[in-house]
Amino acid sequence: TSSAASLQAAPSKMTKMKKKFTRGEATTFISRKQALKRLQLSLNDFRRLCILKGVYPQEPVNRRRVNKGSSTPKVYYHLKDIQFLGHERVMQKLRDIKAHLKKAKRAKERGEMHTVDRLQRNFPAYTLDHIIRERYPAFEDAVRDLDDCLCLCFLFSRLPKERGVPVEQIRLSARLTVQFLHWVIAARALRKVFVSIKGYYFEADVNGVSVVWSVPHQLGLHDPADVDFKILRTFNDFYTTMLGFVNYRLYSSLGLAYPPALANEVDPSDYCQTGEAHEEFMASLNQPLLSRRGGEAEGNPAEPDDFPDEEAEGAEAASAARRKARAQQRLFNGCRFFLNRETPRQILCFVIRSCGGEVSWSPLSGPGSRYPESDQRVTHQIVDRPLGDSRLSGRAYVQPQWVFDCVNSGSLLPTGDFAPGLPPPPHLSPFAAYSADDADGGDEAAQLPYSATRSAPPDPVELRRPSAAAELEEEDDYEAEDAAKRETAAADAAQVGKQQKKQKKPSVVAEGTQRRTQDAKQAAAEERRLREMMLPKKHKQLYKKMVFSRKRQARESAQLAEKKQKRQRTA
Amino acid sequence: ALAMSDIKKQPIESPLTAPDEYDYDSSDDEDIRNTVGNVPMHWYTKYPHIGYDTEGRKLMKPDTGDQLDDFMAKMDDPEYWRTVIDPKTGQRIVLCDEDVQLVKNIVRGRVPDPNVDPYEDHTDWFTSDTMATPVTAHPPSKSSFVPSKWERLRVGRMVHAIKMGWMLTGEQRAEARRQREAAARGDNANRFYDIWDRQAGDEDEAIRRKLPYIRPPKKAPPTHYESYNPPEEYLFDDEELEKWRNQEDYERRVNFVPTKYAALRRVPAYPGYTSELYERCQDLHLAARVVRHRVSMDPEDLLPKLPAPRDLRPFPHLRVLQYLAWPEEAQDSQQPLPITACSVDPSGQWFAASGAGGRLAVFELTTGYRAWSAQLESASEGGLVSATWNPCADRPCIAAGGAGSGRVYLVATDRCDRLLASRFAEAWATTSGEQQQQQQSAAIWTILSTEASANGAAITKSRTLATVQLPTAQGGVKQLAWHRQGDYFLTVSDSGSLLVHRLTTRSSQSPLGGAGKKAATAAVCCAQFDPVKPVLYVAEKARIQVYDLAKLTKLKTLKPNARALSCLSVHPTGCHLLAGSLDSRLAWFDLDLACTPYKQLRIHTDGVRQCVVHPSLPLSASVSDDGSCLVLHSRVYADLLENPLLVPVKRLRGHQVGSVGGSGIVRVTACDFHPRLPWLVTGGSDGRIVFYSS
Repeated sequence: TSSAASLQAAPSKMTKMKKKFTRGEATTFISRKQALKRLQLSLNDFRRLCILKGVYPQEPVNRRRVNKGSSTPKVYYHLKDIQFLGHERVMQKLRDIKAHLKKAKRAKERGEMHTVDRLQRNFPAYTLDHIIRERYPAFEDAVRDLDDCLCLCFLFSRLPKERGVPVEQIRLSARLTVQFLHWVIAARALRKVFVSIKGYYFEADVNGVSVVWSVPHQLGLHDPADVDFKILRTFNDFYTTMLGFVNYRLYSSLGLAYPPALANEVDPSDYCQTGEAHEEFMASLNQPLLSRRGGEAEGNPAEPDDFPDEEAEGAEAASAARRKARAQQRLFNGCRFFLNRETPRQILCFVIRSCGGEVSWSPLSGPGSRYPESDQRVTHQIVDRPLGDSRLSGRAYVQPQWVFDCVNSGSLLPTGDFAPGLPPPPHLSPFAAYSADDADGGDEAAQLPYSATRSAPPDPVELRRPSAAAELEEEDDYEAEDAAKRETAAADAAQVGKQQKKQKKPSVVAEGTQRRTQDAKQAAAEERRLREMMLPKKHKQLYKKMVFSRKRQARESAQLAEKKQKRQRTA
Repeated sequence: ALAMSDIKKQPIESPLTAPDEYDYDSSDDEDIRNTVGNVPMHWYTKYPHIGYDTEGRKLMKPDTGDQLDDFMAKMDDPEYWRTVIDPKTGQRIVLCDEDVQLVKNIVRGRVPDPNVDPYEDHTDWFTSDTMATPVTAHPPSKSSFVPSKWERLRVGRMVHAIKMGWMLTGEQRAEARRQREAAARGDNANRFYDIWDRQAGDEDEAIRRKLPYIRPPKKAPPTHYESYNPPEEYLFDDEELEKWRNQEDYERRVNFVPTKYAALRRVPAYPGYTSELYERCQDLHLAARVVRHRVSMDPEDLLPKLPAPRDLRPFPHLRVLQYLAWPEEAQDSQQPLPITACSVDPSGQWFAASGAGGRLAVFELTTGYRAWSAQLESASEGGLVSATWNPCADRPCIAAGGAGSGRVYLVATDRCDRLLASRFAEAWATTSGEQQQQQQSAAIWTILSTEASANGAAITKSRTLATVQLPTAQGGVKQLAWHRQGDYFLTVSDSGSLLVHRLTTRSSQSPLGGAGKKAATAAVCCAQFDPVKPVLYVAEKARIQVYDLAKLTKLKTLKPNARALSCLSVHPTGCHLLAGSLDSRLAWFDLDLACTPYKQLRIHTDGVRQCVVHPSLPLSASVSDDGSCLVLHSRVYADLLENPLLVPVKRLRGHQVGSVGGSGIVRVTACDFHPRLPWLVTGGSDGRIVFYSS
């Protein structure tokens, strides 16, 4: 009987065979096509929704496992993300819009203009406020994502009006960016400026987070054929909403009224229409804003607190940065600038006023002028063309670069090098380190004050697109670049030191030492090679990559140094 | 036929007297005499008939006269203008006045029939005036006095929609329009408020995306290359510009040509600005985000922490001597023949070397003095391989194998203690006298030197004692190894068979089965005796078999993860094994630990030819076709829990320096340690011997 019992028990012990790809990664991820089907959305609407909600594809650990054994390249989203999208009320609005457009088209073709009119009046509109709140639960989160937002809003604010972008979007972007610039001026938060061939780069300290954005050069923005403005518009929709809320919060933190108002009555005079006066004078950036209490907003820069925190790592550097920031906030205090008409007025006004200076220009070049060129108290006049003899006494004539370099260095540089008509010294990026590593680079180091700037910390996240693998490699290397540069700079400094020491000693001894050091170097190199042989296979690839990028960096900086020397010799 | 005109001309009479019209006018088929139907009548112009009657007879055309008749009629007949021809019958018909009036009315666009009055007075039968009695007898419908249900529902929906804010009232609509207009002016700043006025609460949590948000990486900050006024060295010269132009986008370090502008006002807008931002936006919503923990570490940190070689001294690292083993051979042939084996004698003073030229020689280790040399085989036969000094000092002899002939030479040497030499010679002479022919041997032993000297004492000079001829089928000798006690030695032949030979009995046997029996193993590549236990290590192509010689059983199989094993060396404790392979790997086995290597070393770039473990010091060495000899510090601990320490301490490239002739790398083919000192001898394919000391 026992055997019979065991026989009966046997089937119950047997478990059902598990089907492949019914659990685990295969069900965690969902391809884009599946997602579209699930959400009943067109690809365009899906993209729009992803942009608004900040949903991005994910890279599964094992693509084959997700794709049921196939390795066809596909874009995967996390299933939870798609479910999350499914609950979005904007999605219903997108569907409504689609239906609405269909109805409108039909009515129009039937000539039912009354219906068209009614439909137009009831066009489904949606706001993105709840998405802002949802994506950025705290203000700091929004500030941390402000870089891209500002870049795109500044681009839109400078787009010409015939580009297929609605005028209201352009004007809204322009207003919001101007508001943000006003806040930076009021908070004296500007930290870095860089004039590149692509545009102006700025870095501001927004509540302790450094925000970097770029502004294109004004003239002749090209019309790119390969840009889908629909996507940019969707991004801009979201970013303008975000920037509006951020501005509100920033203005309230400084006690400024929002929406911003000018503290003083402005005289529209002859230069703009009365209806546009407010906007024009706001955009000139040269008017103080109204505070909440009603008076003119005082420039109350957020003073970075200096806590004596000796134990913290990098406390020295942090306090140095604070000192520099304080110096930048008061850099142009007491300086009165006058801008010639060929200079970029808004940019310079923004930079100068962010550092405490006063600015004016000829009232003929635009609204916002505060004093005439002949004002006796003008200390600096910014000129960007060869100047004849028509100079006024008692002021320094400088090129615009002087202002930017002053901000980056945190001190007023001698104006002589930047006199109009002379080639100014090189303009260096404050975002990258510069090693003036040549033997005769001493005087240049004095001119180029950026050697001690900190480099950006490595970013652990990658945006991986199949085609962008090469770019990522590059990115990798850029990070290694700084490290390698610093290292080579240090090594070279040591080398220079050694050479100087050697020169003091008699040559015979020097030769002996040289040989000895060479031997030691060789021995060290060989020892290193022997250790490399014992590298576990697991680390070998990583090690090789690291060494490769370092070597490349060293090679590149050596090439730069060599080129520099060569140019100096020929010059 | 009755002409219509005749009838029409009759005066209209009262209905009572009027003739029945059906008498003369009929649309019935029977009355239509011509049956051709509705066809163009000009088909019949050529024919004398004009159709057919109901009986199928031809209807002949009436005589209409010629043109002259027609002209005459026109002139004479006052009715001519109102005469028409009936196409069906071909007869002339004179239209009456009414017909003419009809035609005129039609032409003028009037009502054709003059009797019809289009502007007749309208009689309003169903008037709006309520009559005392209804015109129809329908009872009134219920819906006419009950409020409409559907209207009610529709209004209800509207009210609900207004309440829910889905539908706008007129006022709201006006307000919305005002806002839209404000938005069009870009003036809807009023709509912003403090959205972060409260802390994130539960309701926020409920709607939030549950997965952690991966923040996109920031854009790379601008470099000096991008400046509008960069330092001179950052500008491209012609060569770099050419290179940049020929590169693909992904190869370029910067995606623009650095440019220097004389003044800020000359800087134009960057053509790719929008495209770059667009790319960034594409990345933000299309690119998969991956968190990669990028360690900002020094590559130095990845390297294993090993003791510095200078702390592991002594080890051979100084090249002391380097010489050609057989200079006369080098003179004969352009290319010196390689050294095939080096073996240091148990005392450490001498060492034997065999060459591919078939010579065997004994050198003094420290001076390079060649004490003895003999041509045992001809070079054409393949030369000598694997000259090995008997490790037992009591039996001062060298064994060397013929690579082509399959013959093993046992050479007695006088380079040792004279007493030992004579004792060995005596023992050899006596045993060979006793047991010369009694053995059933797997190989043929030929005793060459048994004679005693004239005074009865054994000759102690260097000479060949005996040769052992392996079976011809086995081919030449590939490798040869002595047992530690010096009585046994083994040979591995080209065909991969292994024989063990015994000096005292002058016999050979095949321990793995052979003659007659099926071979128990695959082809053997090399083999070694264990220095302590009665154990034999046999390397096949990709595995190492360990046999117990006492019980004649297989103990285990080692898997070195190599594809072509070439050499073995057993640690003097017998607990560790070093195996080299032609796929440039070296495997260190801890025999007590596992059947897989304790450490796999890829320290050579080409096949390993020989590896040796130092008999007394914690050293090992391997030589390779890549032209180098690598010295390892290999310390083994008595504590079984502690792993052996393997540190490469020196790569010796003595054969590379000053090598003569020949292109390419000089392969290092043989090496051996001094039995007590950290000294090393290596032989190379250039026929040179290099001696390294510490």
